[in-house]
Amino acid sequence: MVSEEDLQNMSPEEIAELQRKQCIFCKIIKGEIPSKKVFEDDKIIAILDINPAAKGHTLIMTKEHYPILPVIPLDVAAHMFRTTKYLVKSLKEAMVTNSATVFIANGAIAGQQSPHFLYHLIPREPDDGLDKFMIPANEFKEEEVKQHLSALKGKLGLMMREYKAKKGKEGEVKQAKPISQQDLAKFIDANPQVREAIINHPEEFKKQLEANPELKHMFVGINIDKLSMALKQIKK
Amino acid sequence: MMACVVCDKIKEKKALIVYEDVNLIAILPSKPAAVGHIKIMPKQHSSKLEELGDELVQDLFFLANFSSASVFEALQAHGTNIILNESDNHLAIDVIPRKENDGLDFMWKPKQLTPEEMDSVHNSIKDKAFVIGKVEQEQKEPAQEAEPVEAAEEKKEEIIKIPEEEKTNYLIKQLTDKIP
Repeated sequence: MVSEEDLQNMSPEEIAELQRKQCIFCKIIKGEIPSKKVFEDDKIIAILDINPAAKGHTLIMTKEHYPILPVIPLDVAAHMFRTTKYLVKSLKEAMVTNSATVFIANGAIAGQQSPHFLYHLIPREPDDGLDKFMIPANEFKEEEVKQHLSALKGKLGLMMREYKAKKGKEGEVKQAKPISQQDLAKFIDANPQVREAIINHPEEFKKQLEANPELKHMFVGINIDKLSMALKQIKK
Repeated sequence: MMACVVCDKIKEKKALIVYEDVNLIAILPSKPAAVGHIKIMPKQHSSKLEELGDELVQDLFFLANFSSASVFEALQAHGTNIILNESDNHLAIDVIPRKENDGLDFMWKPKQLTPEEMDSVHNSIKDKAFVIGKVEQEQKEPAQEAEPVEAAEEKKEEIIKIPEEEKTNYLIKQLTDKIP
């Protein structure tokens, strides 16, 4: 056992090391404590929660021990967030439902129970009784709601600028801008190979869309089969 | 496309906007759960996470993370909850500052599942999540020049076609393939 006095004499690094040694999730990751893993790669791991809010309730975490989200390195957090999308999809498919909740608690007051940062992915069903996750809408005076606007705007703007600079792709996200149907028509006109693909190989084209998020984004809400028929008519 | 109140509001720009770029917007809702509550939405109309591109998902969660950090700093919050509830409406993430006795409670009552139920859930999720790492590995491999692009593409075909019962064998085969 480590006494209160020992703790006071320890450096922050030593305390962090001690937390790692005692962390139940680090032990799970090392395989010293059994768990039900649903996904694992070199950076992250996902396991079933043993006290689930619903069937399929999964915890996602980094393999390295980080106590809070903001200290996770950018590339690791980015990988975890991207994988979250696919895991949520897998959970929904496995539990045969079409909605899920992603729940993150920062700080004990918010419900963070683990010194190893992790978050919850919970498949949802209509009338599943999980009303706890509903976001309450409360009445506050307008001045109260507004009072932190400029402070939050300043801090958030700065953090996002730093993030985008680090990511080094400030301009790249612009590709994903939603486009109008007229612009989409122009895009198809300007790219004969795309038009041919839609006309002659609509099924192949749908697969292409799945593999290419930017392209998929341009065709959101468009029925490819109908588009294929329409383009065929125009061609004639 | 169906009419969406959120899409209209994003275009009107009448809300108290704390952050906006080409793809994302963060506002202070007029009826917040707590003072400092930030609501984040992709501008693109979608109701499910998988409808968004990978990079947009990444940016969305980073914006939520930074909103949480801003709330800690600006409001001296003691904690935050970041909650994404998928529904049939426009997708949103809520970042809610927490303090002692704030009257908020998002903690659920755990369900008791039998070991058999846990096993069956475990197996069905593993089966679906099986492809996640594989597809990502695929995308990385050509870049690392670990194998020619053609070979990687062939492999992709292979992965799609694996019957359920052959998955384990396939994994073993993949491992043994890598051993010279």
